Amino acid sequence: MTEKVNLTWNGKAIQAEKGSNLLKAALDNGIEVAHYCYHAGLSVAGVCRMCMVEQDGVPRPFPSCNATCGEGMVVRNDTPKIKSAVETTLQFHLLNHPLDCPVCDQAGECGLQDYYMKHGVYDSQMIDKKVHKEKVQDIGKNVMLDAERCILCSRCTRFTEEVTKTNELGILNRGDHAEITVNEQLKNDYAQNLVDICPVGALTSKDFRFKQRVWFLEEVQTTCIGCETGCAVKVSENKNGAFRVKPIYDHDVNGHWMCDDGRNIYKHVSSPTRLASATENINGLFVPADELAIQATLKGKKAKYILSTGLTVGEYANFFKAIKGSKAEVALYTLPNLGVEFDGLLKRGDKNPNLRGAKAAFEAAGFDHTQAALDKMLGSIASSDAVFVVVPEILYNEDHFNTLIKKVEKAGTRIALTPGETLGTLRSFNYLLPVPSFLEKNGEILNYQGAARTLRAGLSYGETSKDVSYYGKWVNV
Amino acid sequence: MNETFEFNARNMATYNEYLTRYDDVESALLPVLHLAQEQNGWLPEHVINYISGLMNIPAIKIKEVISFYDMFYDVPVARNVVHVCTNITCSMFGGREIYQGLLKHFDTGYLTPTRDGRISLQKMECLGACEIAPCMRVNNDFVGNLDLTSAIQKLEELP
Repeated sequence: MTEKVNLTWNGKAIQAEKGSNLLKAALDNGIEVAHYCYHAGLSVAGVCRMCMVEQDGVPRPFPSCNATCGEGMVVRNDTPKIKSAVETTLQFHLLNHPLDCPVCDQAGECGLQDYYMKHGVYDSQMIDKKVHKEKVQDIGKNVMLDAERCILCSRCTRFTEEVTKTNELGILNRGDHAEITVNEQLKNDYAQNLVDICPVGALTSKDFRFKQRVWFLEEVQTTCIGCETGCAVKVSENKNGAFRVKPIYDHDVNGHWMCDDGRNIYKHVSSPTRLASATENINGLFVPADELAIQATLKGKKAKYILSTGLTVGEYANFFKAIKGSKAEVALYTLPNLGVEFDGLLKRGDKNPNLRGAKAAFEAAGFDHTQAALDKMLGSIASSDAVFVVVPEILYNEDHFNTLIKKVEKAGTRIALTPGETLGTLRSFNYLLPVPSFLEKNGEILNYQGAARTLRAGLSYGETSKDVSYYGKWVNV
Repeated sequence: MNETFEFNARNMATYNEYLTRYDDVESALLPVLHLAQEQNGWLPEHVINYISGLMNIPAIKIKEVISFYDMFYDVPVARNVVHVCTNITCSMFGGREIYQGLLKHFDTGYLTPTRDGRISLQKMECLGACEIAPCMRVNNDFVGNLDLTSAIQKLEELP
């Protein structure tokens, strides 16, 4: 147990760990301190000079991000001296800023805008021309760099140096001419985090660029289903669909970051080719179908289910409850591993978001979840069977899934339950039924640690409000 | 561009001596870059990559240093590099005019080698020789108490 110390910040008594970061102590206790360069996940740089504080007994103001907490410290950042210091510093930050907020994606969540409203000197004293730098630079990995907007906080260079250790970014030249430059194109798998940590609009995401204004978006806190790590994320969305995924700090799982693959998990949810209602496949022509009619055609057929690993713990439980007492066979399709087992940061090769939950549910219901059981079921498929395949939400390897579909083709009735897009591969099914995606259901999944991670419903989309257990009730031979 | 660069035996010995001067490898970067520039004339990509591999410092960090300091060249320079001081004292004695006059005389620009590849002119901040203002540095020698004529004369003598 680390020692706690008491300090006073703006007259408010707070507690912090001895020797911990002074700025962090304030932020953790809900005290607002303007800052650009400080980021809890990176080393301290002390370059933006925004978090200046005064301490009793210390003659000059100093940056709080570069100080540590000690017993009995009395710190203030609301004195006239500090206020004028912050105002002046902000003036310098804005000196060469192009003020292109109307066309900037960061507008609405920009550190410069936020602090300008609070600490701005509204009358410009600028008499010189602004220094212009290169604006639209594609630096790779879906990151766009606008050197003009940059305030040189060095968060991004520290990120590539300390977190990914790939060292692509640096600050070249000196003084007015200093600008962020890439040595070569970005090559790390965590590049989108640069967009998140950039406090201004210098680094923006190519994927999100010019799509939405951030004040039209709502954030839903949920869990990434891209791999078994289960990072805590927030998905920005509005009535037009989901637009981006950003990580939330979670000490035990993902820390501050998430990988680039996880940024794409929202894409199928509001895709125009997403299945919205029950559909029948008549020789390659997809026509809307009546669920009751589909139900009628299934009477008397032997039901075989191939579940994916993307369902929630609750969905598995409901499903097994629904088919209890029937002679239905159930097997589990697991996605193949992709890439390295674990890349040392967050990304894992096992792409099954809820493999542990699936296994537990299968075992509890007395079914076999192994690959052998799946192969056995695939081998025994006859034309009198109705096979239900729950399509995995994120298919990294379509070919692998296609081989599964090939083996299912012997069955008389083939039904795909799909939370994602209507892939070309689904042509070999007779019926397609929509099931909710991860953004449309509440529940829990178990990540690689076996820890329960929460999924939260943010969107309601089409008719996909029925979970897999609803379809499970259909066939009761 | 498959050019290669390697320290020659003498410079390699100097490099190893530099390493012993400091607590960590990074501290030796400035003298090492000067050494490399002395051998190669300027610091192109392949030299940076060589030093990066040698000292185990990311290439971008070396580029940061090179772009920060005026006396490291990331563009090719001529056989002779001439620094003309244009800081306060020298300016008061006509340093700027000398610099502009030299540019005009040799029909060149900042750091651009003259057409015969003899001279690269560079405007410099204080060279620390105010007592002989206006001054310039021709390679490693200071020349002071200049006027435009004597400056041109001095540079025309260069090989």
